[in-house]
Amino acid sequence: MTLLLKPNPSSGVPIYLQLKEQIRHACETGALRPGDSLPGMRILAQSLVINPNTVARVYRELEQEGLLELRHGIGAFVTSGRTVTRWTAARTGQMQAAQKAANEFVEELRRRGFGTDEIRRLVEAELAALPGTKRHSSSAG
Amino acid sequence: MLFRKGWLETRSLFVTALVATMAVCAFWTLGHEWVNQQWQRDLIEHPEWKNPPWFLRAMHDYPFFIWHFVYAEMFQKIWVIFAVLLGIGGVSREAAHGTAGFTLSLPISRVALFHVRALVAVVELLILNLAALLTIAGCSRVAGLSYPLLHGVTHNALMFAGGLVFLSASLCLTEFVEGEYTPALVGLGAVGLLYFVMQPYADGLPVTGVAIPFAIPRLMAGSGDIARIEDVHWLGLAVSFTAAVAFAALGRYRTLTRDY
Amino acid sequence: MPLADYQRSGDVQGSYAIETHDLTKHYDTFEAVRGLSIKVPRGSITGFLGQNGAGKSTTIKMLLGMMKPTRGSGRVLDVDILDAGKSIDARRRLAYVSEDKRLYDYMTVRQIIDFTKSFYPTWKTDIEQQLLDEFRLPLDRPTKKLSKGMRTQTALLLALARGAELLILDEPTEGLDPVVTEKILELVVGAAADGTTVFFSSHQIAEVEQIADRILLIDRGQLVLDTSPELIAENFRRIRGIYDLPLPEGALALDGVERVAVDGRMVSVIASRNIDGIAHRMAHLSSGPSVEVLPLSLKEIVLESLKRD
Repeated sequence: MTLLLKPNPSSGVPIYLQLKEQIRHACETGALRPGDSLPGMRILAQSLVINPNTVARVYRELEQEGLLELRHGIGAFVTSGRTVTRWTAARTGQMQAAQKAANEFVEELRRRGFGTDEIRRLVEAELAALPGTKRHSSSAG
Repeated sequence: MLFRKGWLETRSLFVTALVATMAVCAFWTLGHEWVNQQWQRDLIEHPEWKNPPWFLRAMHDYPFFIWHFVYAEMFQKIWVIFAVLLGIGGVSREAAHGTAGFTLSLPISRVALFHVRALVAVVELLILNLAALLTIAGCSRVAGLSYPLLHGVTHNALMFAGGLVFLSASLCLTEFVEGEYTPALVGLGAVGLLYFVMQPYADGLPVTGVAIPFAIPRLMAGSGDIARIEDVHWLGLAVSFTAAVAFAALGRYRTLTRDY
Repeated sequence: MPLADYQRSGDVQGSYAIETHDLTKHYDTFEAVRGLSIKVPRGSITGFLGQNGAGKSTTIKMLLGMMKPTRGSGRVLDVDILDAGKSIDARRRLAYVSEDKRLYDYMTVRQIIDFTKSFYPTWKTDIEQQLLDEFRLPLDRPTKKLSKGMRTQTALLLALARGAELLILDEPTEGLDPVVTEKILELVVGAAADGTTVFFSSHQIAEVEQIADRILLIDRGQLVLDTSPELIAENFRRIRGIYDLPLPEGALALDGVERVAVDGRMVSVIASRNIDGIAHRMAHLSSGPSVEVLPLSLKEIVLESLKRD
């Protein structure tokens, strides 16, 4: 099982969110395509060595969100089309706009006299305060 | 499967006791002639040696000879040591060894564990007596000596009935004394002391009053002449048996109610 | 309970595999367990954490009927722990692996498997065979000649092949190498996927964090933490700020604040909720550039919870 990596329990992100993110990412990048089947819940739990209830929850939520289809007794399948995010031209355009916003933000803070590390800490603190974000690495001097 | 566990648990001890028993019985039967010859020579070469009270009779009375060396002395001691060691064990000993959790988490009652262990011990002791009986009878025949079967049956029965109290006391002791080896040391120490204290009574001094509880070895041996029902010390047997039941009940109660 | 039909735990009949109410054990003057009230939902993997001597083993012994509680009550698989007769039936549906993992010295591996098998009508010979092959256990070797690792594997085989509804494991991976440890966690997860409730105590916090969905922390006989790795990841945070002057008394007596630690100018708060509120207040009082909000690992929370005031 190399499609999905073992979640890190100490990262600050709940394991179920990490797994959800991984499956979504796999669908986004094309590692998983519509119609592909995912491992059975029990098998996935065992290969990642995580709680089976967690896997069940992830599959259930992704089913509710329309990404997966659970066929009773057969398994879980990636749904065809619909809400799956793809690298489309629209996404690329969004990316460019986001980069521009980030650039303006950083420039503004620099104008106010903040250093690189201070800006980084501010942003990470902001992200860490939201559920489901990455762990803040220790601030460098 | 509890019986199988009980057997596997006591197997080495039992085989050792069985081999010792058969060896002792074989020696005093097959070796009777040889021993007698040594005695004859000693009488001639060392007239100054004092003869123990049983000596003269043992020289010419074969069943008495067997009675003295086997039932009153060596086999009895083997039997008693084995009874004490058999009684040690159970969940209490397993607690010292680390398997009590496993055993007690099985779907069996503590009482069942206790009963099975006691029953296995009783059967093994019976077999020991049976082995003694058969070995003496068989080897006597081989040595060309006549040995009355009733004699053997009586003395083995007496030893078993009178000696059960040792097994019981041990079953009880192990529930009160912690440790893997401590109960055995205490039990054997107590038995050693008993035999040391009792030795003067073993061969004929009158047993009265407070010495009666210590007269078990003599009770188990019976007198050398037992052939008739009236010669059996019935009161002694009854007391010993009652004590056995009491010890067993106490041990059973303790295993039921204690924490492990 | 097949995972395809997964229901939220709590919906199944007799929804708790283990429940205790005010469970207490005194030895003379020493209070080993004090008023412990816990609930372990069926189908969950519950980690039972605590230092040596905190009362974990005593609690487990009371649950199994090995010790009588001084006070309080408990139920295991819907059977009153004080009912010796009915408890036999409960034990037919559970498996316990003690910390010792000792086995009967006088039996071989095959003999102890046959012995154990005879008590459990739900014994799964396929699992027995699978584990024998995977662990490569020497069937005819006396158990006293097994290495510690193989003894543990044998003990786990005896537990996992029972088809039990509840597994109570005391330090199941202690002393095992990482490969075997991962294998055992895999097996535990597999058992849970089949609906078995797992209640295990461990010092390996990382493992607990990895597979448990419930966490109970016991300290000096009392329950000090009852949460889950998910709740911790979503709600628990460490908030740090820099303060030139000492904070006024009660400045941080806010809802959600669990611990406050001061180290020079750095004030560190462990909070279980109301993170925004606390962060705001701390930022307001702070003389430094910002207030940091950091996630907490289970290990940090356990260590914090166990600190003496």
